[in-house]
Amino acid sequence: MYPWLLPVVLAAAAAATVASAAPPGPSALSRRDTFAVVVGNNESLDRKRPALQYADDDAAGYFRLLEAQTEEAALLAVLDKQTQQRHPGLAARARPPTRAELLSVLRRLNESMRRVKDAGGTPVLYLVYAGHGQRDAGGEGSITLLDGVFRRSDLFDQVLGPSQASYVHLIVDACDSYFFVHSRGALPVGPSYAAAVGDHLGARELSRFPQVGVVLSTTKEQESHEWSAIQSGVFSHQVRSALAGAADVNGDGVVEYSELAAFVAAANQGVADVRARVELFARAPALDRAAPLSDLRRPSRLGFLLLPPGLSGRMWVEDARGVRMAELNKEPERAVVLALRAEATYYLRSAAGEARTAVGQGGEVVDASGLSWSPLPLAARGPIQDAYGERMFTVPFGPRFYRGFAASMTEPPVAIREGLDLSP
Amino acid sequence: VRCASLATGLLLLGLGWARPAAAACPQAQRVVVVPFEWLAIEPEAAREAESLVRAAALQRLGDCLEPRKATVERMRSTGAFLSSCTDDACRARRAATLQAGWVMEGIALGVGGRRTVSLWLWGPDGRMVKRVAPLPEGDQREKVAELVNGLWSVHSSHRPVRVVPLVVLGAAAAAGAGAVAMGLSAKAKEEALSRGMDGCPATGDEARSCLAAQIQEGRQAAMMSNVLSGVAGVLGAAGVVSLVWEWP
Repeated sequence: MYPWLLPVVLAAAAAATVASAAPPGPSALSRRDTFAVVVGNNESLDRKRPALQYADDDAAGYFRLLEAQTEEAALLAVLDKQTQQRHPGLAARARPPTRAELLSVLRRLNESMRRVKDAGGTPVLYLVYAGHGQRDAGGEGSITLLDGVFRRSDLFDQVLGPSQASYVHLIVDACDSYFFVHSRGALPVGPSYAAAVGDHLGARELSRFPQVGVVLSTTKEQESHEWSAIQSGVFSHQVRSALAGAADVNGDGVVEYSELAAFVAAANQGVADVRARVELFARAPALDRAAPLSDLRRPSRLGFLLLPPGLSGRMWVEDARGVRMAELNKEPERAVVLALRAEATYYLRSAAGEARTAVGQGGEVVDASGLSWSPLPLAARGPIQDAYGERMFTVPFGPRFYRGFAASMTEPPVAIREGLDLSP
Repeated sequence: VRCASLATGLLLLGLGWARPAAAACPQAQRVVVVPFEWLAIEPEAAREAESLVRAAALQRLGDCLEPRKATVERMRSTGAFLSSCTDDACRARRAATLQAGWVMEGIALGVGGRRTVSLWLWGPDGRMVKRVAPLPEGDQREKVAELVNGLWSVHSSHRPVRVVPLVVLGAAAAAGAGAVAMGLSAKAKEEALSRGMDGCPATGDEARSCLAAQIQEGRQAAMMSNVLSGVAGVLGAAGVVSLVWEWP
């Protein structure tokens, strides 16, 4: 995320605030209707900056996860050949990431969200972007669409200004969290950039936009973290893992902003080189700092993989085409449930081996205990041997890590329960 | 004095009846249902699911189900988490720690807009069976009873073949069959000789020796039948004892 992208986000948040009536409080959580717009663009408008490889994969991954949980979702991306093979059937549903398509989709969703509000509901909008970002000579930040840049003022006036959403979750993974393996350009080492971004946002703008939450990649310009082993940007891979349920540290079925931030911090804790770390800025909507960024309790078309107590260490789930769906390093005492697309075969993998499982219809829970583990095939073992793969997710994430991390957070921590209910 | 002894006896008898039922159950048969974990669901709902499972288990197992209060007291000293075991040996140790022959653990879930329960059951050898089932709205007792019974059935059907008792019982059966065969042979010989000379010459030394040989053959068959009967009886008893001994 670039510094000049921050004003984009802030302006967008301001627009959303102006345009939307005050949303209901936490008591209305059960009546949330969610909508999603996912934009991914590999292309670069600057000839000096190479095109990205996996921004379309990231968009596809976000879309797969969100569409099963939302009333309406739109994917704006041109999927390359490899991505179309990894996500069959998706290309036919995607629209090109152009200004006209984006505004058209948002008009349609705004109409749906307005109806939800009229019916007394709480429409929630996910707005996700993966791709390049840049700043013009005047300092105005923009993101890259297929037919040109989309400036902060555009976002302000045309996207979030007219938004009917009661809550907006902005997830921005700009190009600086890509191409880790091929990191290029100057890589300055210094104080936490995320902290600087947080100060900036907190002091100036974000508190004025109470219903907007933001999740931003905050690694420096010119740092690009893309990892071929996961065919994804590292930041987006970690965020999707968190949203799938890996970050639900207290097992309440809800991933809050503080849990996401702690999860990503744990995932990168073992990465010793500060230039290689993915840094994230997460700020919950001020209106409800416990607003769910992901709510696994809601009816959805997702299936669920239960990782019971006992299973521990670094593990990840891949589908039959090798797309890595979620990854975590699990403490042995806690149970975790991961949301996965239904009607698909998956491989639960670790350094020690793999276990095949399948998720049937939506809502089905598959218990991973007692799965038959076999040695990891060579093809699956190879990528994890690279230097970055060995360092990511090396620290177990759970209540112990979260408690320590919570001390440095601005968000209120979630309540962690102690063991089982031993009341008589 | 006699009245006092009688009163004491009645009191002890009464105390015996008043003891918790589970305490009367041998440890090898005691079943512990660990308080349920919960995920994406209210703890009250997990407690409700646990109560339903307990009720179903009580119906099936009767007195050998340890009351929740006793389990809770035991777990306070061992740590209130579900087992973190990934192998049979660990689960067997967990069962021993809980002083139980059988352990049932579960997680109640509320993901995807549904209520689901995942149950695990293992015995003293640590072998585990699991079941995941949605909990329908409304009266869930029947569904949970079906789930619990299914769990026990699966575990029973996966019980390993007990080699020693089966070999002993097989040997007993073979000995018994041999005894019957020998007995029938001796009986046939006796009947043949009682009807006539059974193929021996009618007179002379040759007839005498032939008859003696036939009688000796019959006696040997009868004796073998008796010996085999005894062996079958002993082996059969040993087989039954070993089968009962190895029964979980």
